[in-house]
Amino acid sequence: MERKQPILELQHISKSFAGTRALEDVSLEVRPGEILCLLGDNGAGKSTLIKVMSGYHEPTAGTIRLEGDEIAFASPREARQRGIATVHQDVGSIPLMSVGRNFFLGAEPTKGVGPFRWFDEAKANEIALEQIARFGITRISDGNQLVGTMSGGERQVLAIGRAMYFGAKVLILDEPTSALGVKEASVVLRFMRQARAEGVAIVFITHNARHAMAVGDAFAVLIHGKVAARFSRGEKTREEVLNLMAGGEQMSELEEDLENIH
Amino acid sequence: MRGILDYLNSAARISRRGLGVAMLTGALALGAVPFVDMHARADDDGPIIVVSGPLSWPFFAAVKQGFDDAAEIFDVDFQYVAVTDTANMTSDYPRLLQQAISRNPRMLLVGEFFPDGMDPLIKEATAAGIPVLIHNSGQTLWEQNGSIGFIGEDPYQMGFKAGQIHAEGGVKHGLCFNQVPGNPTVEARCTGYVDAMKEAGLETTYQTIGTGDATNPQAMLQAIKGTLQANNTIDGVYTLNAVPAMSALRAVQEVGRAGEVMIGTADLSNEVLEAIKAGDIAFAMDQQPYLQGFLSIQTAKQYLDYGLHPIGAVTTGPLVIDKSNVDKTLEVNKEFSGVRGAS
Amino acid sequence: MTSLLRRPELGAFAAFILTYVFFAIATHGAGFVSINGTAGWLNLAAELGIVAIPVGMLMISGEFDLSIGSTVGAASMVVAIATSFYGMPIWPAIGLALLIGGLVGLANGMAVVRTNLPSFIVTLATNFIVIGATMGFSRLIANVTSSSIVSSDTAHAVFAARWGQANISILWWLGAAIVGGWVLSKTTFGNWVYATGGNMQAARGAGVPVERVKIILFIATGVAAAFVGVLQGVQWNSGNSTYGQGYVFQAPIVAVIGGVLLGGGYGSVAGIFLGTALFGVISTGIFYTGWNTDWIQLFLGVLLALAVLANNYVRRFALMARR
Repeated sequence: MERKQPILELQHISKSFAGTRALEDVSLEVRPGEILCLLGDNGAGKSTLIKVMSGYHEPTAGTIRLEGDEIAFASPREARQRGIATVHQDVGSIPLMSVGRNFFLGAEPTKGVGPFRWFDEAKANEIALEQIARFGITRISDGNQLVGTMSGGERQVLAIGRAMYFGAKVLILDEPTSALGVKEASVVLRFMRQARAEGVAIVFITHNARHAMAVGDAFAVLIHGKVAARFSRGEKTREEVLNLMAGGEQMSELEEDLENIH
Repeated sequence: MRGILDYLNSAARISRRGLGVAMLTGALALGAVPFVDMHARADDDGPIIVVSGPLSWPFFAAVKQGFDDAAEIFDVDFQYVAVTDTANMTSDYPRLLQQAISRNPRMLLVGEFFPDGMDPLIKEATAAGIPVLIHNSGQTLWEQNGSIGFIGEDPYQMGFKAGQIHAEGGVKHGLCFNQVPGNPTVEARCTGYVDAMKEAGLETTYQTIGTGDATNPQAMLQAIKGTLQANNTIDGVYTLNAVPAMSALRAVQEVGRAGEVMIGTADLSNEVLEAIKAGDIAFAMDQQPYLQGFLSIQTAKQYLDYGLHPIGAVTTGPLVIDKSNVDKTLEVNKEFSGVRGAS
Repeated sequence: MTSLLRRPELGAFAAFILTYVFFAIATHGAGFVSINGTAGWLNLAAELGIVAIPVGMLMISGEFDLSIGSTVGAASMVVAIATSFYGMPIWPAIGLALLIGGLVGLANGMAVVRTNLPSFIVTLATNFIVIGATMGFSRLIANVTSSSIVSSDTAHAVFAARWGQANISILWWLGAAIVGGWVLSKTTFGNWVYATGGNMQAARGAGVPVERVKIILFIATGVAAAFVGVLQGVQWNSGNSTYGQGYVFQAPIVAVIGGVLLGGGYGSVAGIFLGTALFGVISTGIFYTGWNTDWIQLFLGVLLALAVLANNYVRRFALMARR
């Protein structure tokens, strides 16, 4: 399979906060139609990396390239406008608002003219339902239904589908499966495969090696703000990945310890 | 032009006396004034301290006007102490009084609004030789606590007088409308009213409203209207403030009993006075708050300089205002706004 | 049918019907259900309702405004002093009062957005500041804290006209409800109001200018409060700095009775409207019963608790998935 040119590239990125290094010399790239899994334990620097990629933080050193051009995002809004969408695990949707209203929040379709423009709810509902149905959520049949009535996986799909509908080229998914049950997680993973098939570049941040192995094309393991390992699909076994994430310690030993605690 | 001159004039007055007072009350409120001496005593060079009501109330603003005018005429300096936040007056007033006593005043002019907390302190002050003159409230206490006199009115007597006027006017069933239930001074007016009506063998109804509606004329209108509808024998209404008086007038008109229900009120406003003039409201009762302030300063001056003072209580109210004297009152109220305690 | 059951105003609607029927029976013969009796509770509800609608919308966006009480009184005093003391014609005076209301709202909005302090505290402070300033300036300028208003025929026609015993304020209330309802449920801005109160981070992330949304709502609330002050002032021919103090808590209460979620993100103008109507019926109807009026607040409190419980049930129902 021929690999496309990277759409988003991080080159030698470092980020410090008041003297503390959160990221050190991180180089990564993600290509259209690929899922890059960013693995790491809590505190490994994943959130800082997300914030650098989505324009919340400016890196202390290093360069970011978007479609080959060097770029510095002035704001998250600019990153979004350039097609980089971040979907956070917890703050994606508004439970007491309807599916249609959530889907079009901030980009509402309108009817009418001038001060008498109004929100075209029927159109919003129709498109929202159409989009989530495309990704396999057919249980929701009424665009007026509150998002709070949807399951966690369905909400993730709604949020990601929304980002794609509004032209995201790079999707940064922050722990989209970690709060979900097995079934729900598989809904989201299936959806990610589908998005990949449509040519979107996905950065999948997770600490769940199983989920990563299920969909990932390229992998990067982050430890203490540094990239500890990079490899492609099929190059390492799940055990090896787990050991890498644990920072070189034998995961099997850790698992033994855990058993002894019981 | 006149407006601007008045403005400058009153601004000057405030800055001359008001500023010191504001600073004083601010300091007292923060508890920043130190106790200079543990034992209270009268000090010939000490200040004359007035502990009186909150100036945000039109009534006490008129009292203050009386203090100010008399102070200017008699060339007396005084310091006015009052709460600015009316939420905890029951505990704030004894504290203010305590702090005033500890400053060794030459004389104390006190409104004894909350006797439970204030009376022991007044006894302490008089025992230590500080001359105390009570104004506004404390009619039944001043003789026991060693004060030299009392200038003011008795809310019970005021209500009683209103009941008598209603009874004489042919009212058979009187309504006393209390817009601030829980205020003992105001409630005493209704008690007096009910007692006077009972003495004449007549029927009464006592009505209160929710505490949130005390300043909403529309809510008071609808409340009185409802009561008049439910009791069609009511032919007299006594209100305790000028705002509900106007609500009562409109309620009577809306239930179609204009001219059949005799309306009287405590306190007054231009609107009430105009209604008295037109014959729609029978009477208003003026406590003459200005006199409470003015006579207090005058008495203080004459007592301190010559040892003279009135014997017994000086009652400043109620002055009943009806058709016979409304014109003069209205004229004064328009020309010297604020002197009557409402406008 | 289920979509009707999920509407936020359902609880208030049921409570309104039950309460109205209750009072219609309990006040039998006293004229509560007559045209004049109906005009009475509508007049009361209308003045509260005009300010409760923007207050409720502000609550949906996640903020409170407790300064409305003082703004009502301040507006009436501005009109009174401008017309009777400075001899200003009434219309410019009304314009000035509305402008001041808008400025109070702007100040609240800026303070809340800039400091991120809870609006409950910020506007409580504003409430004291505004009534203090009103009394202080009124005393300084005219040596009064309440004063007559010199009105005109046109001002009277707009703010105090009556048909029988029904005040024109009822029409203003309906107008405010129609405009508010349209904005909240039919416009992009309305969507932003819900989103701002529902999840501010998510709304900001989606590009909603949450600060602007809040400031606009604070301004609308200030103007509405000033409008009610003008309305009461012209109607009673008198300004009074204490007008409106009762609204400080009555307005949020009727919004909550009407199904607005105290923490924001949920509610409707129809609900606020019904909550206000319910409040009008209760606080007027009880007097037509001739019962001892000392009980009125107990009664109000129990009904409030019941309405809030009903709303909680409705909201849970709306969040029940059709699984």
